[in-house]
Amino acid sequence: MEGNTGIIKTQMRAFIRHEVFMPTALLILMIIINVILQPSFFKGRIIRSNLATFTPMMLVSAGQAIIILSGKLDLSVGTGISLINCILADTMSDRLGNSILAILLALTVAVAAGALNGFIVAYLKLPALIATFATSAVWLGISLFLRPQPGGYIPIWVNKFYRFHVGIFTTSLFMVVAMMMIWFAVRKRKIGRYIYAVGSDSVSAFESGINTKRTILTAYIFGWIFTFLASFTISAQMSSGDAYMGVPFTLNSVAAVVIGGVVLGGGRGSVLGAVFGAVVLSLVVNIIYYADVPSTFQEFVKGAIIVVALMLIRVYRRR
Amino acid sequence: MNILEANNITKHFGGVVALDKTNFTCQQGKIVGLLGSNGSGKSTMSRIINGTYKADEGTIKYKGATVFFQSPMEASDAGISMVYQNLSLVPDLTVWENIVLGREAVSRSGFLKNQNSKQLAQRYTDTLCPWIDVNREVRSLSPSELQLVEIVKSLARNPEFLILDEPTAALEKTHVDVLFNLMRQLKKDGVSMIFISHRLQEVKEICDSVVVFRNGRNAGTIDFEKEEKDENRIIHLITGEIISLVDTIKRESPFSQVRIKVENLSSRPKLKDISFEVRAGEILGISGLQGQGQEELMLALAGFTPVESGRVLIDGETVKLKHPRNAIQAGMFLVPGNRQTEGIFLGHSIFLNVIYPQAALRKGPWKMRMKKLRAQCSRICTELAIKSPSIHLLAHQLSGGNQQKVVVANWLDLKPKVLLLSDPAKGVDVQAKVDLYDLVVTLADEGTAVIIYASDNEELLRVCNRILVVYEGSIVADVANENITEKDLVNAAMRTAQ
Repeated sequence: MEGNTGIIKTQMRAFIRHEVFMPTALLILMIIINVILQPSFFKGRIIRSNLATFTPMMLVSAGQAIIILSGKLDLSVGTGISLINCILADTMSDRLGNSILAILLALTVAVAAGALNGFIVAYLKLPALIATFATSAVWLGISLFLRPQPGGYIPIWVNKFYRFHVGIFTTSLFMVVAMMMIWFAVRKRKIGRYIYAVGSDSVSAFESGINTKRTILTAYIFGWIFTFLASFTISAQMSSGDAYMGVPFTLNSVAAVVIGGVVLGGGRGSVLGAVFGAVVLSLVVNIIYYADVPSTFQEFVKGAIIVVALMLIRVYRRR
Repeated sequence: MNILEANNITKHFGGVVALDKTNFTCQQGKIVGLLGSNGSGKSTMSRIINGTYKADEGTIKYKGATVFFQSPMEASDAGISMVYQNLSLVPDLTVWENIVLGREAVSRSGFLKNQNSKQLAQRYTDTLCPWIDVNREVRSLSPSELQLVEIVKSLARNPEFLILDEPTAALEKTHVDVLFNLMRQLKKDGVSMIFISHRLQEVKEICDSVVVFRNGRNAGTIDFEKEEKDENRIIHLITGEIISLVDTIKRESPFSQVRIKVENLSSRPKLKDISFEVRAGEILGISGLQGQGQEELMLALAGFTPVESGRVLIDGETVKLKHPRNAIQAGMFLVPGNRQTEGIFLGHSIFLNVIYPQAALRKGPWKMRMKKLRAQCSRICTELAIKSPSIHLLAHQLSGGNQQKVVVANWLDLKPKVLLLSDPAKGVDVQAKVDLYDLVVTLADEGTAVIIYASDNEELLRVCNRILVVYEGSIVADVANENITEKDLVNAAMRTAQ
């Protein structure tokens, strides 16, 4: 009997120390608070609408997490979302072939933007913080050139495709799950381990024979494929283009990644945790809404909740 | 047959010349000792051979062909593997992931074959350190375990040419013996090796020949198969002058006044009920097997780690040890052992490093007298023979031994009441070691109480008045340094262990 409880104890400890434990706990806490304030939370319609709203944040946070795990950072994903959104709104039309070409074009631009960021950071060795801050201005500039005023056209079928569901299984949920499965497959390949190794200690990784520059470049490209999908889902919901629309996503994605238990220095944490972090952050907005916080206080309360969440993570780490 | 020939290698780092038309050759199946003081270019030469650095000038011939390795990866593909002095391990991965890092087994579709990798890692750890669980995260390993894993990692690459850059500095004698047996086995299998160490005993034991560098140039070569293993000659080649290591420094008996008194100090899990006194002018050594709480004792005294119970008095006054500031204000300074992570601002100049402690004390006028401080810093650099073209050179541009001198220099002009030294001479060359301990003795003669922990018992025997032996966080012996030998200390530590 004693040996049995011993095993259970070590398993419990491993469970508690698992990197996804804390974000999961925070997520459950947020859901509980949300359900108290909004009893209809578990109704199919509400779940579907929440999923549709949270998905862009989940996707862009997953992308940011991959870049941060490699030891870098990308402050240009927000205006990158804008850029992709403006390209889609400018080039899509009711002809299906045309729309598919437009999507391919937008994806190519996203990959190119990620590759450019990765190149500047990894090969030219500019500090990621400033370099991606600079490219974020470039993306915004191009977006404004393409679309000085909000507008443009996204065909209705995109929105219908995004809203399609069987029960609570929506297209958005499918996209998140599919992307996570792809990431888990990547984790089982060399590049997946190398991203963690380079983020943890790039000098040691280089000395171990890893091509650290190519690894960082790849992490940026992965990150931007997620960013592309995030922008696509936003475009589907908005059905138009707006050059400023993506801006708040940048720092929100960094916050979601940290709440999700990923260490900002890189090498430690999980992409799944970052996705949970994104949901936590999105639920905070919900909670504030249903708690009838006066609109003037909403930002204040949101900030305070995030600080408390980060403190919880810190206390948990210390143990 | 020469498996490796490096000819006329030159390498600059900023304004510092690390190697100046230096040559190095190694024969197939031999172990060559590469010797020299800190900053003489040993590590630089190793890193040029394995592709981490690119030489400014010169050529490298490997197996008869001229090679230009662009990265460690290319050198590794050619069969050259290296044990790095500052380790090439990634803290967030497990032991086995580190051992196979960069050379993972993959299936045909490109997925990692983790079971194969784990088995391979296990097989190699079994040869050197079977007690280390390959599933542990590297960040949780102790310094000696890290060193062993680093060695295992290089062995798992099946090298034909192996560079070992100070693999033994963090190891205990028993592990060194196991390593040497492995090296002899590899030699039998035809592997050629470069062995870098500051311990002449080890070099004499394992090497077939030695190459000595001095200030980035060839100082000489001794072939042990034809010539005598003459320690004095080797030291002469290393330093350019004749120094004897064995002379114990004769010291006057210390002052009578008790400088520091430690009463029933405990700090779980490593320190249990430690009490001792050190008089002014006395040098106290802390000895024992590795990892018995020596470093923790130093950190606790310096206020880095919390003390659970007991108290510390300096000149009769209780010092509360909540924060390093408390210790510093009481006049008790720590020279940390791990200069890579503690005690030095690698990105700042020598000058700034030397004046930080003074700035932190907030003594003296509001505006710092820069001119005076600069003069002071230059004087300290000369006194300590810090090898640098300018006091404004960044600390990371200095070699390891010189960095350590800067750490000590920090505290010199503050006239410490108590000086704590945590393995100060680890990885420091003969000349620097002599300079360092001369300095400690001078400080003691002026009335400082010195407490030294050193992994090398010889160092303690050379300068200490009294030596404490620590075992599992308690003091098990307190011996006056009169007519005792290293063997006595090891005996005292081992007897309790059994």
